[in-house]
Amino acid sequence: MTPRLTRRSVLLAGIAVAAVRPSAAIATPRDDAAALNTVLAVEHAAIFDLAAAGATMPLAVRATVLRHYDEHRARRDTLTQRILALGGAPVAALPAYADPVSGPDGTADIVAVERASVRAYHAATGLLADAASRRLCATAFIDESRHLALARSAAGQAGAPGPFVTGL
Amino acid sequence: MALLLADFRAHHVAHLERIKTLPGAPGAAESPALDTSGSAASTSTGTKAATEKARAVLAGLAQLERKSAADGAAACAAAGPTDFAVLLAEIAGNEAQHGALLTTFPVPS
Repeated sequence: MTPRLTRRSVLLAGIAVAAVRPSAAIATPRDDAAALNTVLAVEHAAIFDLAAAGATMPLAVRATVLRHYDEHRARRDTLTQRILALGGAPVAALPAYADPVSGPDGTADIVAVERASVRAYHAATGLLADAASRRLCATAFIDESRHLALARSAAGQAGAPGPFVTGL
Repeated sequence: MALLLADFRAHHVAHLERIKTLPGAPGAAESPALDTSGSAASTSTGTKAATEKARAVLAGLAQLERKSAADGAAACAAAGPTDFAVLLAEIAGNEAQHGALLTTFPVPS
Protein backbone atom coordinates (compact mmCIF):
# COMPACT_ATOMS: atom_id res chain seq x y z
CA MET A 1 0.00 0.00 0.00
CA THR A 2 1.41 3.40 -0.99
CA PRO A 3 1.60 5.79 1.96
CA ARG A 4 -0.66 8.78 1.53
CA LEU A 5 1.30 11.95 0.76
CA THR A 6 -0.08 14.79 2.80
CA ARG A 7 1.14 18.34 3.36
CA ARG A 8 1.94 17.33 6.93
CA SER A 9 4.05 14.33 5.89
CA VAL A 10 6.00 16.45 3.40
CA LEU A 11 6.69 19.03 6.08
CA LEU A 12 7.79 16.37 8.56
CA ALA A 13 10.10 14.83 5.96
CA GLY A 14 11.60 18.24 5.33
CA ILE A 15 12.16 18.79 9.02
CA ALA A 16 13.84 15.38 9.29
CA VAL A 17 16.20 16.20 6.42
CA ALA A 18 16.99 19.58 7.92
CA ALA A 19 17.71 17.91 11.25
CA VAL A 20 20.44 15.66 9.88
CA ARG A 21 21.99 18.05 7.33
CA PRO A 22 23.08 21.60 7.77
CA SER A 23 20.71 23.85 5.87
CA ALA A 24 23.56 24.99 3.65
CA ALA A 25 24.08 21.44 2.40
CA ILE A 26 20.90 21.71 0.38
CA ALA A 27 21.57 25.26 -0.73
CA THR A 28 20.96 26.08 -4.38
CA PRO A 29 23.06 28.40 -6.54
CA ARG A 30 20.44 31.08 -5.88
CA ASP A 31 20.91 30.62 -2.12
CA ASP A 32 24.66 31.02 -2.61
CA ALA A 33 24.11 34.12 -4.72
CA ALA A 34 21.91 35.57 -1.97
CA ALA A 35 24.59 34.87 0.65
CA LEU A 36 27.23 36.48 -1.55
CA ASN A 37 24.95 39.46 -2.13
CA THR A 38 24.84 40.03 1.61
CA VAL A 39 28.64 40.18 1.63
CA LEU A 40 28.65 42.41 -1.46
CA ALA A 41 26.39 44.92 0.28
CA VAL A 42 28.88 45.04 3.16
CA GLU A 43 31.73 45.57 0.69
CA HIS A 44 29.89 48.50 -0.93
CA ALA A 45 29.53 50.14 2.47
CA ALA A 46 33.16 49.36 3.37
CA ILE A 47 34.44 51.01 0.18
CA PHE A 48 32.44 54.17 0.89
CA ASP A 49 33.48 54.25 4.54
CA LEU A 50 37.16 53.57 3.86
CA ALA A 51 37.28 56.37 1.31
CA ALA A 52 35.73 58.82 3.76
CA ALA A 53 37.50 57.74 6.94
CA GLY A 54 40.79 57.03 5.17
CA ALA A 55 41.14 60.69 4.27
CA THR A 56 41.23 61.58 7.97
CA MET A 57 43.82 58.95 8.91
CA PRO A 58 47.24 59.87 10.21
CA LEU A 59 49.72 59.94 7.37
CA ALA A 60 51.67 56.99 8.77
CA VAL A 61 48.79 54.57 8.23
CA ARG A 62 47.07 56.16 5.25
CA ALA A 63 49.05 54.11 2.74
CA THR A 64 47.92 50.90 4.47
CA VAL A 65 44.29 52.04 4.42
CA LEU A 66 44.55 52.90 0.74
CA ARG A 67 45.96 49.45 0.00
CA HIS A 68 43.08 47.85 1.91
CA TYR A 69 40.64 50.11 0.05
CA ASP A 70 41.98 48.80 -3.26
CA GLU A 71 41.62 45.22 -2.01
CA HIS A 72 37.98 45.86 -1.07
CA ARG A 73 37.30 47.26 -4.54
CA ALA A 74 38.87 44.23 -6.17
CA ARG A 75 36.84 41.93 -3.92
CA ARG A 76 33.66 43.81 -4.82
CA ASP A 77 34.34 43.12 -8.50
CA THR A 78 35.13 39.45 -7.86
CA LEU A 79 31.95 39.02 -5.82
CA THR A 80 29.91 40.68 -8.56
CA GLN A 81 31.30 38.28 -11.16
CA ARG A 82 30.66 35.26 -8.92
CA ILE A 83 27.06 36.28 -8.23
CA LEU A 84 26.45 36.71 -11.96
CA ALA A 85 27.99 33.29 -12.61
CA LEU A 86 25.53 31.80 -10.10
CA GLY A 87 22.60 33.40 -11.93
CA GLY A 88 22.02 36.08 -9.30
CA ALA A 89 21.64 39.83 -9.59
CA PRO A 90 24.40 41.70 -7.76
CA VAL A 91 23.16 44.39 -5.40
CA ALA A 92 24.16 47.93 -6.30
CA ALA A 93 25.83 50.34 -3.93
CA LEU A 94 23.67 52.92 -2.21
CA PRO A 95 24.24 56.54 -3.28
CA ALA A 96 25.69 57.27 0.17
CA TYR A 97 26.03 55.77 3.61
CA ALA A 98 25.80 57.26 7.09
CA ASP A 99 28.71 59.51 8.01
CA PRO A 100 31.44 57.02 8.82
CA VAL A 101 33.79 59.40 10.63
CA SER A 102 32.87 59.62 14.28
CA GLY A 103 36.06 60.83 15.93
CA PRO A 104 38.96 63.21 15.42
CA ASP A 105 40.43 60.74 12.96
CA GLY A 106 39.05 57.67 11.30
CA THR A 107 41.03 54.97 13.12
CA ALA A 108 38.12 53.70 15.24
CA ASP A 109 35.82 53.84 12.23
CA ILE A 110 38.23 51.81 10.12
CA VAL A 111 38.21 49.14 12.84
CA ALA A 112 34.40 49.05 12.69
CA VAL A 113 34.45 48.75 8.90
CA GLU A 114 36.94 45.88 8.89
CA ARG A 115 35.16 44.10 11.73
CA ALA A 116 31.89 44.24 9.79
CA SER A 117 33.64 42.76 6.74
CA VAL A 118 35.15 39.94 8.81
CA ARG A 119 31.75 39.19 10.32
CA ALA A 120 30.08 39.10 6.89
CA TYR A 121 32.61 36.70 5.38
CA HIS A 122 32.57 34.57 8.52
CA ALA A 123 28.80 34.14 8.24
CA ALA A 124 28.94 33.36 4.52
CA THR A 125 31.76 30.84 4.76
CA GLY A 126 29.63 28.39 6.71
CA LEU A 127 26.68 28.69 4.36
CA LEU A 128 27.97 28.38 0.83
CA ALA A 129 27.45 25.09 -0.98
CA ASP A 130 29.36 26.12 -4.09
CA ALA A 131 33.07 25.29 -3.68
CA ALA A 132 34.35 28.21 -5.76
CA SER A 133 32.25 30.66 -3.77
CA ARG A 134 33.45 29.14 -0.50
CA ARG A 135 37.07 29.47 -1.65
CA LEU A 136 36.42 33.10 -2.52
CA CYS A 137 34.91 33.76 0.90
CA ALA A 138 37.60 31.87 2.84
CA THR A 139 40.35 33.78 1.06
CA ALA A 140 38.55 37.07 1.62
CA PHE A 141 38.03 36.17 5.26
CA ILE A 142 41.75 35.82 5.96
CA ASP A 143 42.44 39.04 4.05
CA GLU A 144 39.85 40.87 6.12
CA SER A 145 41.25 39.35 9.31
CA ARG A 146 44.61 40.82 8.31
CA HIS A 147 43.03 44.22 7.64
CA LEU A 148 41.29 44.11 11.01
CA ALA A 149 44.53 43.32 12.86
CA LEU A 150 46.35 46.25 11.25
CA ALA A 151 43.39 48.59 11.79
CA ARG A 152 43.24 47.63 15.46
CA SER A 153 46.97 48.26 15.79
CA ALA A 154 46.59 51.69 14.20
CA ALA A 155 43.83 52.45 16.71
CA GLY A 156 46.11 51.48 19.60
CA GLN A 157 44.35 48.20 20.30
CA ALA A 158 45.72 44.65 20.42
CA GLY A 159 46.00 43.53 16.82
CA ALA A 160 45.06 39.90 17.42
CA PRO A 161 43.27 39.78 20.77
CA GLY A 162 42.06 36.19 20.56
CA PRO A 163 42.95 32.88 18.91
CA PHE A 164 39.80 32.59 16.78
CA VAL A 165 38.67 35.34 14.42
CA THR A 166 34.92 35.82 14.11
CA GLY A 167 34.47 39.58 13.84
CA LEU A 168 32.31 39.60 16.97
CA MET B 1 58.33 41.59 20.90
CA ALA B 2 58.58 38.76 23.44
CA LEU B 3 55.06 39.53 24.70
CA LEU B 4 53.69 39.56 21.16
CA LEU B 5 55.27 36.20 20.37
CA ALA B 6 54.03 34.75 23.68
CA ASP B 7 50.49 35.85 22.79
CA PHE B 8 50.74 34.25 19.38
CA ARG B 9 52.09 31.03 20.88
CA ALA B 10 49.10 30.98 23.26
CA HIS B 11 46.83 31.37 20.24
CA HIS B 12 48.42 28.38 18.52
CA VAL B 13 48.05 26.31 21.69
CA ALA B 14 44.37 27.28 21.76
CA HIS B 15 44.03 26.19 18.12
CA LEU B 16 45.55 22.80 18.98
CA GLU B 17 43.32 22.34 22.01
CA ARG B 18 40.23 23.13 19.93
CA ILE B 19 41.32 20.81 17.12
CA LYS B 20 41.90 17.98 19.61
CA THR B 21 38.22 18.14 20.58
CA LEU B 22 37.05 17.44 17.04
CA PRO B 23 35.71 13.97 16.26
CA GLY B 24 38.42 11.88 14.61
CA ALA B 25 41.21 14.22 15.64
CA PRO B 26 44.63 12.68 16.17
CA GLY B 27 45.53 11.74 19.75
CA ALA B 28 46.40 14.38 22.26
CA ALA B 29 50.13 13.92 21.81
CA GLU B 30 52.17 16.49 23.64
CA SER B 31 54.54 18.44 21.47
CA PRO B 32 58.14 18.30 22.64
CA ALA B 33 59.38 21.13 24.78
CA LEU B 34 60.88 23.96 22.79
CA ASP B 35 64.63 24.27 22.75
CA THR B 36 65.21 27.99 22.91
CA SER B 37 68.87 27.83 23.92
CA GLY B 38 70.10 29.02 20.55
CA SER B 39 67.22 31.27 19.65
CA ALA B 40 67.00 35.01 19.25
CA ALA B 41 65.47 35.15 22.73
CA SER B 42 68.89 34.56 24.24
CA THR B 43 70.46 37.53 22.46
CA SER B 44 69.57 40.50 24.56
CA THR B 45 72.65 42.62 24.03
CA GLY B 46 70.99 45.07 21.66
CA THR B 47 73.83 44.85 19.20
CA LYS B 48 73.34 45.37 15.49
CA ALA B 49 73.74 41.63 14.97
CA ALA B 50 71.00 40.89 17.48
CA THR B 51 68.71 43.39 15.77
CA GLU B 52 69.36 41.81 12.41
CA LYS B 53 68.69 38.39 13.87
CA ALA B 54 65.42 39.59 15.43
CA ARG B 55 64.34 40.98 12.07
CA ALA B 56 65.22 37.71 10.36
CA VAL B 57 63.30 35.70 12.97
CA LEU B 58 60.23 37.92 12.59
CA ALA B 59 60.37 37.67 8.82
CA GLY B 60 60.64 33.89 9.00
CA LEU B 61 57.78 33.60 11.46
CA ALA B 62 55.64 35.96 9.39
CA GLN B 63 56.22 33.80 6.34
CA LEU B 64 55.22 30.68 8.27
CA GLU B 65 52.05 32.35 9.53
CA ARG B 66 51.08 33.57 6.07
CA LYS B 67 51.65 30.10 4.60
CA SER B 68 49.60 28.56 7.40
CA ALA B 69 46.79 31.06 6.79
CA ALA B 70 46.75 30.30 3.07
CA ASP B 71 46.72 26.54 3.75
CA GLY B 72 43.89 27.03 6.24
CA ALA B 73 41.81 28.96 3.72
CA ALA B 74 42.33 26.24 1.12
CA ALA B 75 41.34 23.55 3.64
CA CYS B 76 38.29 25.59 4.61
CA ALA B 77 37.20 25.79 0.98
CA ALA B 78 37.59 22.03 0.64
CA ALA B 79 35.75 21.22 3.86
CA GLY B 80 32.25 21.92 2.56
CA PRO B 81 29.62 24.11 4.19
CA THR B 82 30.21 22.85 7.72
CA ASP B 83 31.08 24.07 11.19
CA PHE B 84 34.51 22.52 10.60
CA ALA B 85 35.06 24.84 7.64
CA VAL B 86 34.14 27.81 9.82
CA LEU B 87 36.60 26.71 12.50
CA LEU B 88 39.36 26.38 9.91
CA ALA B 89 38.58 29.89 8.70
CA GLU B 90 38.66 31.26 12.25
CA ILE B 91 42.10 29.72 12.80
CA ALA B 92 43.41 30.78 9.38
CA GLY B 93 42.18 34.31 9.99
CA ASN B 94 44.11 34.45 13.25
CA GLU B 95 47.26 33.23 11.53
CA ALA B 96 46.85 35.87 8.84
CA GLN B 97 46.68 38.43 11.63
CA HIS B 98 49.88 37.06 13.16
CA GLY B 99 51.59 37.30 9.76
CA ALA B 100 50.49 40.91 9.28
CA LEU B 101 51.52 42.00 12.77
CA LEU B 102 54.90 40.27 12.58
CA THR B 103 55.56 41.89 9.22
CA THR B 104 54.87 45.37 10.54
CA PHE B 105 56.40 44.94 13.99
CA PRO B 106 58.93 47.76 14.53
CA VAL B 107 62.34 46.43 15.48
CA PRO B 108 64.47 49.26 16.86
CA SER B 109 67.76 49.80 15.06
